[in-house]
Amino acid sequence: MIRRSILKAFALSAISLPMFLTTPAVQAQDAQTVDIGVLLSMTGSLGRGGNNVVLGMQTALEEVNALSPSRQFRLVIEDDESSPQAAMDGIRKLVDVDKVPVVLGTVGSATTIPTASYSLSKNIAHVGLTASSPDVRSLGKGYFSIIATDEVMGAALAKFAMEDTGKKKVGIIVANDAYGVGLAKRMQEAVAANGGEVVSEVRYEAGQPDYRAELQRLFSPRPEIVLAVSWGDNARLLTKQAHELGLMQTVQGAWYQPYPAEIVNACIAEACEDVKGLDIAADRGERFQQLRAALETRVGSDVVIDWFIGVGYDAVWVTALAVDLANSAEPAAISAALPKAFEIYRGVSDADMSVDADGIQRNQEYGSFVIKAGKLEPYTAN
Amino acid sequence: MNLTQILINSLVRASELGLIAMGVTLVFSLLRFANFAHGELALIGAYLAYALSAAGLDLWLAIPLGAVATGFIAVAIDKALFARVRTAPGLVLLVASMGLSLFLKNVVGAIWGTKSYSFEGSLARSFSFAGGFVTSTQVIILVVSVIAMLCFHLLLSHTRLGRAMRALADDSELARARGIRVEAIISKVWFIVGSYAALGGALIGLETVISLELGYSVILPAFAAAVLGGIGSVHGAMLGALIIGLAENIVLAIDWSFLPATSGPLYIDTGYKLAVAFLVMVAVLILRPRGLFQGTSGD
Repeated sequence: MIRRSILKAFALSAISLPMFLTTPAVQAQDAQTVDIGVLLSMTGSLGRGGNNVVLGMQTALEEVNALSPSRQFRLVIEDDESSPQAAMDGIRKLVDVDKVPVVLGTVGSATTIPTASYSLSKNIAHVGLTASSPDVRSLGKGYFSIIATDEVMGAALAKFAMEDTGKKKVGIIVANDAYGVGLAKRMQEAVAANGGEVVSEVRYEAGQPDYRAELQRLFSPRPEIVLAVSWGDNARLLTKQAHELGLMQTVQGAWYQPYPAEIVNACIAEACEDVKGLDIAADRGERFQQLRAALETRVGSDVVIDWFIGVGYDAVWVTALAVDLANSAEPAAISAALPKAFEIYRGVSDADMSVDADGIQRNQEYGSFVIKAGKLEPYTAN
Repeated sequence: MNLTQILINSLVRASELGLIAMGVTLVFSLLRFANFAHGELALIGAYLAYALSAAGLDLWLAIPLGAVATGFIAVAIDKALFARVRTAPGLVLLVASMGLSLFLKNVVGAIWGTKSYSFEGSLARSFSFAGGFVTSTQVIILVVSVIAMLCFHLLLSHTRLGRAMRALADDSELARARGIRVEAIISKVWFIVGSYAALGGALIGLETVISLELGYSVILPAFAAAVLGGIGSVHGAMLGALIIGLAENIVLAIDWSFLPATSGPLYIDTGYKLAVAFLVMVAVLILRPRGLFQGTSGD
């Protein structure tokens, strides 16, 4: 009971870790080990984000285990290679072989939806990380998400772009998957609601070696604003080819992207100059400072905390808290305790992490950013 | 539809594809089998060039060195695999090449992982040209390909090796009877086609990205170009590559909204580019099985 109250107090207020480590109540006992299944893109087009998620998870794991000597948590990580097929292999391994009581993953909607369906079919709770397609709502009971879905982001990005530029003719280019198509739909609705016009909407297949045809279609009706949904290599190639074809220059400063942290490291700096977007605004409060301090110790003082790290950190914390609240490592008990854990936890991704009936975040705070000389900087809209 | 841009994109695509297609057709004309592992030689060439470049070698040295290394790898593959089943039926060779393709792709994946790579460097400069844009990289690709194809043409038509290759393609038994060292010629052919495929792969990687799917993405268009040009005809394969390049880019640029039961603009995704090459190949095989240019073995 004392141990549980410590975890709960820490989750609530982000009181500094060293204070607990010196608390007499924390004593070594016969430790129970709880495996947390993690399915992530460690390689492939989403690999960069996946590796950062793991960094956040490992940081949280150290904190949680330090506070909970009688119940130690362990991450069982599988690489989904950014591919739905490999993701299915990974989830079967976690659920059927490793028999984990809860799964955290993945970083893409296209891999999250089928793998979460599999987890839930085996009555294993599944905590989605950065999957933001509205389709995750259909997954049903036992699914929870660390971030809000694209109903929120799509509308926010379109509104932000139109207000920032004062222009109305919008071109939309998205990946032809659940994530991209879901965002495109919300963007279209928001553009219309803000008095604008979508003059072109193009869907591209992720992982292709050439997007010139798609870019030419996108720019054919001469949009004044481009809303692009891309990441990793796709983002690099799209912006590179748009720049080389002289198209990017026609909307200089008016190319907007959800989650620009997903593209900033992949892009050629010159091609992504002045690309703007909205990102999950990591809460700059106590929890964030605590994460920063832990990461500086772990990887050095020049650490750049992107939202992937925050999501991984929050996911492990909220899961450990649910296990603690349930006082059980049984899948059903964890699943039942997760809504409460989300409600009381104050996260890095968002201070208020309470979820709705579908297990999705009720609210999401976004910050606006711009890419300058290959780095992501805070941006204040015009 | 920007016709200039389509033409530029098609020429660049044809340049890259032609280097690979001529190897496909040359192997077929000499060894009488369709080498499905040919795309993987392009893959290896691209990865080697990337690795050398990432290690600090100048890009324009890394690409030819990667091509030469791939040429030697192709010779080694022939000695280790194809030479042992040289007289086996074509189906055996075909299946062997399919297995080899999977093996090579997995070896590359084991070494470099599944992530994609791009040659380092800043953006290529682009120039406005007759309403379209052409980049400095594309100009280099065009020039390198034209030079490489010209060299191959000169080798085939003006050297003893070229004459021996053509003799071997026409009738290997007769060539052997006239004192041509068949195995030595075959090794040289493997070196050449391996190097050319690697060059094609590296040029594709230079313009786009290098991924494990590179081999798969080029082998079907390369076969289509070879069939189109008349299987066995090296010059036909080059022209076939040009037609495939044009077909792919034109089909992708057409707005199909004129078709019934469509609403709004309707374009074919780039992901279906391979289907265009496949359809062209099937059409040619049905309507003109010896290819548009009536190619015969030996060229």
